[in-house]
Amino acid sequence: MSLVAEGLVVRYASRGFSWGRRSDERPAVDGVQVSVNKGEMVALVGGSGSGKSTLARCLVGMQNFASGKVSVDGTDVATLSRRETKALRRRVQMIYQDPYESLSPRQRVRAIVAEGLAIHGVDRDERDERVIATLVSVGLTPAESFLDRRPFELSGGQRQRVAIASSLVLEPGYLIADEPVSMLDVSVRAGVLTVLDNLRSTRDLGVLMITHDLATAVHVADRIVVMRNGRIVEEGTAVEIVHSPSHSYTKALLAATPGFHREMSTEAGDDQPGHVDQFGRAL
Amino acid sequence: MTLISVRDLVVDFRTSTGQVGAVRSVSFDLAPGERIALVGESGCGKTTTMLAMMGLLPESATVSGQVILDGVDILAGGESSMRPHRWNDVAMVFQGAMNALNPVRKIGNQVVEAVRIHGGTKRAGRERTRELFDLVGLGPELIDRYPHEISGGQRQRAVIALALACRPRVLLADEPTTALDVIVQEQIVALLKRLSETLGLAVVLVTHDLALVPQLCDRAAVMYAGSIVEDASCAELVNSPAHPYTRRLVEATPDLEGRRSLVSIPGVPPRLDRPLVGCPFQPRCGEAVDRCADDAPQLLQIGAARTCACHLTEELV
Amino acid sequence: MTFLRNNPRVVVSIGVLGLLILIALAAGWLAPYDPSAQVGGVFAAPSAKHPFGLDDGGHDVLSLLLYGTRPTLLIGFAAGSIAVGIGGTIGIVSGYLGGWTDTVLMRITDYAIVVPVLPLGIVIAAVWGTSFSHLMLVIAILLWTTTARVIRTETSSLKNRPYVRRIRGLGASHTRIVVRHLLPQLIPLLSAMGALTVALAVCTETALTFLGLGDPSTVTWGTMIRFAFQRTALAQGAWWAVAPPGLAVAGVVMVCYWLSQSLEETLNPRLRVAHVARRYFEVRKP
Repeated sequence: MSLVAEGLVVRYASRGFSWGRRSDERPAVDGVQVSVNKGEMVALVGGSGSGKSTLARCLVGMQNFASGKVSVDGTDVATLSRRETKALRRRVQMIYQDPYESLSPRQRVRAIVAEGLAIHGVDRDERDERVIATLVSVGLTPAESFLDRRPFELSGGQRQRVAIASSLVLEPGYLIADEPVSMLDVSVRAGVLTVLDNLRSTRDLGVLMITHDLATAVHVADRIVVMRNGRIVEEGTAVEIVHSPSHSYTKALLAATPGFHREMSTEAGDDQPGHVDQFGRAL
Repeated sequence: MTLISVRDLVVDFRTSTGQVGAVRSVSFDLAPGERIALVGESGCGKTTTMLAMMGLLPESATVSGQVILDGVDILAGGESSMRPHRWNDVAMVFQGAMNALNPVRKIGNQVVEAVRIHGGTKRAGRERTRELFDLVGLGPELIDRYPHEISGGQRQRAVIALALACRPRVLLADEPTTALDVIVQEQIVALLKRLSETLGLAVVLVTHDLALVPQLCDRAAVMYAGSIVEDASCAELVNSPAHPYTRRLVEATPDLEGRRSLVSIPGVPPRLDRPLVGCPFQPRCGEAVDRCADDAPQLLQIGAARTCACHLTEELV
Repeated sequence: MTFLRNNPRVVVSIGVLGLLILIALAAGWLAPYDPSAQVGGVFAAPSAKHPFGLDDGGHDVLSLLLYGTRPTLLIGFAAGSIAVGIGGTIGIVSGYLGGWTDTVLMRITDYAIVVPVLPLGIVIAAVWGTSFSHLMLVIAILLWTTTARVIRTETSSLKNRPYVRRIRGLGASHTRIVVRHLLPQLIPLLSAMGALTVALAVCTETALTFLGLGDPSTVTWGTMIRFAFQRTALAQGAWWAVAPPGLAVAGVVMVCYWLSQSLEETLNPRLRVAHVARRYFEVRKP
C-alpha cells in the first residue's frame, strides 16, 4: 500500500501572453517518480526551486500536472469522479510549514481539530471524543485544557501539533509534511518530529517529509530523496546518503550542511552508542 | 584591544499588558576582527540587543546601559550621539533581505543612497557601489537590477554590500542566512568570514541555529530570557557546554552523523512581562536544585575567557 | 466596563450614533415646535425661545433640524447597508472565485466607479422625477464600489492563507469556507467599510437634496440648506439657517469615520499588537 507519483510533470503557469512557449523553460517538476509506503517516513530534500513543494501539492491533489500519474493505494487519482476524489482526499493530508498561519486565528482548538469531522458529518458527541483522543495522540495533554484555547495562546510547537491533530481526525493513510519544523525553535523540533514518527509507527502512516535540511532528514527518515531543479538526483537510506553519496549535488549538500560532526566528541553518558539514531534504528 | 563594548544593556518595552523586559543586562566586548555570535531561540532578546546597539528600537523601548565605541558611550546622548556612528562605524545586515531592500529601486541606487546619506557625492557613491559589489561577489551587471530580479543569495549579498557602504568597523548580522538554501548559506557565511578577516571587521552574528555558529565565529554567547547564560569559545560550547540550556541546545541540534539523539526541551520560555524570580531556565532545566527557584545565578567566570550563569557551575569559579 | 476602557472610541462613536437614532425616532416629542408652523418672522435671529433662530419661512430651525434627522439617517443607513450588502457580496464572490468571474465583476465595478454621482442623480430625477426612493436608488447604485474592491482584495488574500488551504484539504465545500471561515475574518473590514459608506451616503444625500433632486415635501438637512441658500440666507446674515444643518452633516460624517476606524482596530486585534517581536509580544487576553 503506497502513495505513488510516476512521471509527474508540472509546468510553470504561463504569465500573460507569450509568443509560443519558451523552449528553455524548465518544468517545475520534470518527470518525477516517488513513492511513500505505509509505515515509512520518506524525506524529500532539496533547495528552493527544486520543485519539492510543488510535488507535494500534486500528491495532495492541490496542483494540476501536465503529465504523469498519482495513485493512492493503487487507485489512479485521475480515474475518479469528483465525489470519489473528495473521499480520497481524506486519505492524504498535508501539514504546512507555518505554524502561525496554518490555524484559523478565530477558532478554538476544539473547533479547529473537529473541522474535518464536521465537514464529513460526524455527529457532535462523537466529535468531542475523537478530538480529545487525537489531541492525546499528538502529545497535547491534558487534552481538556487545550480545547478552549485559541491559536495565539499556543506556542509554535503546540500549534503544529494542533495542525497535525486536525489532519489526523480524518484518519488519513498518508501525511505530507511540508517543512513541518523549519519555523520552530530548535528545542521543540524534536518533539514534533517524534510525534510524526510515533504516528507513523502506531497508525502505520506513510509520511513524506519535505525539508531543505539534510541533517534533520538524516535523523528521522527511513529513506531520503534528493531533488534538484525539478528532478530527483539521488535516493537512498540515510546511511547511504551520508556515507556514500553518488550525485555531485548530494555531495555539495552534505558539505554545506552545518553541523558539529567535525568537532563533536562522544560525551560521557551518551547513551546512543555507535550508529543508532534517536528512534533506535541502526544507521 | 577592545573596539566596541556593550555593558549592562537593558531594554524594556512598554506594551498594553505592561512592561516587558526583553533584554536583562547583556555585556560583551569585541576586538577588531573578532566574531561573536548571540545564539538563542525566538524571544530571547538577541535581535533586540542588536537593534539597541544601533539605536533602532521603537519609541516604546527604554534602553539603559552603555555601548562604548572608541572609549565613548554612543548610547548616552540618544539619537544625536548614535547617528554619526550609524553605518559609518556600526552597520547592520538585516534579517530577510527582501525587507531591507526597497523593491521599487534598483539595488545599485540603494547603495549609492546609503553613501550619499552619509555625506558622499553621487559619483563617490557609484564608485563605491562598484567596489562593494566586487567585494561581495556580485557581478557589476547586477547594479541596475531590481531586488525581485535576482536570487535570494544575491539579495543577501546586496544587503551585505549595503551594510559595508560606509566602511564600518562593526557589522551586526541578524540571521543573515534564514530562508536561504544550505549551499547558498555556506557561501554567505564564507563571505562574511572573508570580509571580517580582510577588512578587520568585528562581527556580531545573531542566529537561532547553533550549528551555524562555529562556521563563522570564534566565540558565542548563549541567550535565554533576555540574558546571557553562557559565553565561551565555540569549541568549548559545542564540546563541553557548561550551562544546562546550552547542553540541551546542542542535543537538540541535528548533525549529519546522527549519532546523538535529538531532544526537545519541554515547556516554554518564561513570560518577559513579569519579573523573573530565580533562574529563568529552572522550570525546564531538569538538573535544577532547590536554590535555582529562588536565587538568580550571576554570570561568573568559570574559565579563561569563559562565563556561565548557573549555580551548578559555581564550583568551577 | 473593560470594553469601555479598552475601546473608548468605538463606544463613544456608537453612543453618538445611538443618540442620533434616538433623536430621529423621538423628534416628534423633542421638537419644541411644529416644523411646518410659522412661528415668527423670516430669518429671525436666535433667541431664548428659538435657540437656532428661524428659517426663510419663519419655521423653528431647531425643530426642523430634529425632524430632519429622520430622513437623513434613514437614507444614510439604508443606502449604506444596501451598498455594503451589494459591495460585500460582489467582493467576496469575486475574490473567492477569481478567474473570469473576478475579471468580469471587477470590470463592472470599474464602470460603476467611473459614473459620477451627481450627474446620475440629476438624470434620474429628470427622467423619473424627484423622490426619496430615487435618491436611495442613486446612492445604492454607486456607493458599493469601494467596498467591493476592498473586500475582494481582502478575500483574495485570505483565500490563499495556509489555514484556508488546509481546510480545503480537509474537504470543506466552498460555501463552508466562505461562511464559516472567511466571513468572520471579513466582518471587521465590512463594518469599517459600512460605517464609511453610511457617512458617504449621508453626504451624498445632502448634496443631492441641496441640488433639489430630493423629495421637496420632506425635510432633510439638505433641503434646509437648500432653502436657506435659495432665499439668500447668508447674504442676509442669517447664518443660523445654514450652519446647524451643515454642522450636523459634518458631525455625522465625522462620527461615522471615527467609528469605522475604531471598529476595524477593535475587531481585528492583530492591528493592535506591539510590532516588536510578533511571536513573543502578542497581547495575551486573560
